Amino acid sequence: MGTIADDSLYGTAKGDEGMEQRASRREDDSPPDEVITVVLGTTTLESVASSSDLNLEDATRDRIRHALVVFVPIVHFGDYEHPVFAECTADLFQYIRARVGNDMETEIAIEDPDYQEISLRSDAISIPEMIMTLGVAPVIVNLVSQWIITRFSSRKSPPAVTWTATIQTANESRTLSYSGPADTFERLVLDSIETIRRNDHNDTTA
Amino acid sequence: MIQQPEVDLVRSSIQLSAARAALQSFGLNPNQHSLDDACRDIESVRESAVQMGDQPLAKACWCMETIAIAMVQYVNAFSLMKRGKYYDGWCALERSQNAIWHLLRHYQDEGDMFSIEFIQRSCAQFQGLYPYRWFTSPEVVAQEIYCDICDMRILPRSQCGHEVGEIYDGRMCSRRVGKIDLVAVALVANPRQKFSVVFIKDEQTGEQIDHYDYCLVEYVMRGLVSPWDDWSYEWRKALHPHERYGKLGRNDLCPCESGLKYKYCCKRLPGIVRPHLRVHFADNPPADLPQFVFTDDISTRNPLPVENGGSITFSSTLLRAGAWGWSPSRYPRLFGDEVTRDVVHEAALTS
Repeated sequence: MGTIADDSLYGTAKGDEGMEQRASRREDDSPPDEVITVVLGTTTLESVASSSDLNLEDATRDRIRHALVVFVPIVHFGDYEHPVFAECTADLFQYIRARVGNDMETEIAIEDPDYQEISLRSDAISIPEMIMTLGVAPVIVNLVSQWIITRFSSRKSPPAVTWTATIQTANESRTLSYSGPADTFERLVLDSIETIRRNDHNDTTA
Repeated sequence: MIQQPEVDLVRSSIQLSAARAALQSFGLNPNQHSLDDACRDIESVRESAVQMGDQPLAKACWCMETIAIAMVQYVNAFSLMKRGKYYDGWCALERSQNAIWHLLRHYQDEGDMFSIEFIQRSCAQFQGLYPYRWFTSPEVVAQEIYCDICDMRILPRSQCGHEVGEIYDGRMCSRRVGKIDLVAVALVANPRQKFSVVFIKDEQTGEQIDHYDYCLVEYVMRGLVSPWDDWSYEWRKALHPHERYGKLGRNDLCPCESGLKYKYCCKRLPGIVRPHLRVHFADNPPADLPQFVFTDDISTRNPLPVENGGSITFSSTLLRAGAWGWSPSRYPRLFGDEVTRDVVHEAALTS
């Protein structure tokens, strides 16, 4: 059973090739610009399942291997050594599970008693990090977007969203990071997933 | 999603008619400072609705209670600001806004029946004039989280089914943290709650000092008689008389904060280009409110040298004003006979 290097797990995504899409719209008091980046990733469902940084039971590791979507914790948040999840992760996990049912195996890389959340108290909404297969990614993005609307639509100011997700394709993993207003989240992330899908298709047929 | 039955009940339920009338008259009568009786009525209706299993009515009670909180906090904020208790006023504005934030998920105040839209706009306007720009923000690890409705521990794979923000038995579901670990305290510009304003401390006495300059809020408050008086403002730039800035050398930095030397910047203009607040009062303000003032005319409280916070106080307003672009012909001159507008009142930043 192998282990995953810290920096390739839940920290900053690294890769030797990447693409970056930027869209600017800056007016007085406007939400921050949206930035979306996609880089080559090294995390896979298998690498999460076999990570020695996570104190998981064998049954949980098996479920993660066969899952299509997995919520992953921040393993090292500053000096805090216990894995932590973004705020409201348990609620979003339940929200997605309730809507996809048994058709889409959804898992979380923690044992229930060890679950902890980090609350950053910034007005930005931190969506928990996830790893998912390419096939289910559009559905998950759609559900995450719905959850944001349900939960945060009446906020005092237009919410900003940050999200990192790793998309596992047939050939490789791509780590996608979004930071920007909630109202452009779904469209820009889905565009990026479509680009990943096309690149993956080209690689497969080449 | 907004459920229509609750909205209809808030507007027309017979059980809530007395409370509804009290809330509506509170919106119109500035001398009525309490909604305690109305809140007792609402609580009584809520209890019987829960006993009868009437969830829509219980939810309507929650909506009305939250409307009452938003109103009372807003009126309280106005009163505190009138008395010069600006930080307390700020906190009351924040409470009012938070109540409205929770409310709008379940109830849209169509036709501004309870002045919710007005309160929301007015709170945002007042907050926009406050000098607060930075807030402390704790980073906390929640080790045990419980449902506020049923007290069940929230775990990823087993949950009670209560959704945060939803209303059950006339109570809003939220999460209660049973065990926390403070990781860090951050300084942020966009906190989720804005109560934790950064203040300085007197190094000798250890006492907290409110070093902020509230001159803009103070000016607007002088022009408003009732919390329900409508008003608005806009940021512009205007030309200030050169003589207000003392003896400026040609090679001094220009007071407009462009970063250029004075001789290459505003010296060539009829005045110094500075941020300028124009306030529109819907009703005529008190006669003793000056038509036009510079901030150092109204800011007699805690005048600070620029290097000790004055520049920070106005840095954000400068940014806002900067969005108007730079064209000298667009800027009104704030002297001579050009300030002759009625009801429009102006405050110019000179600090």
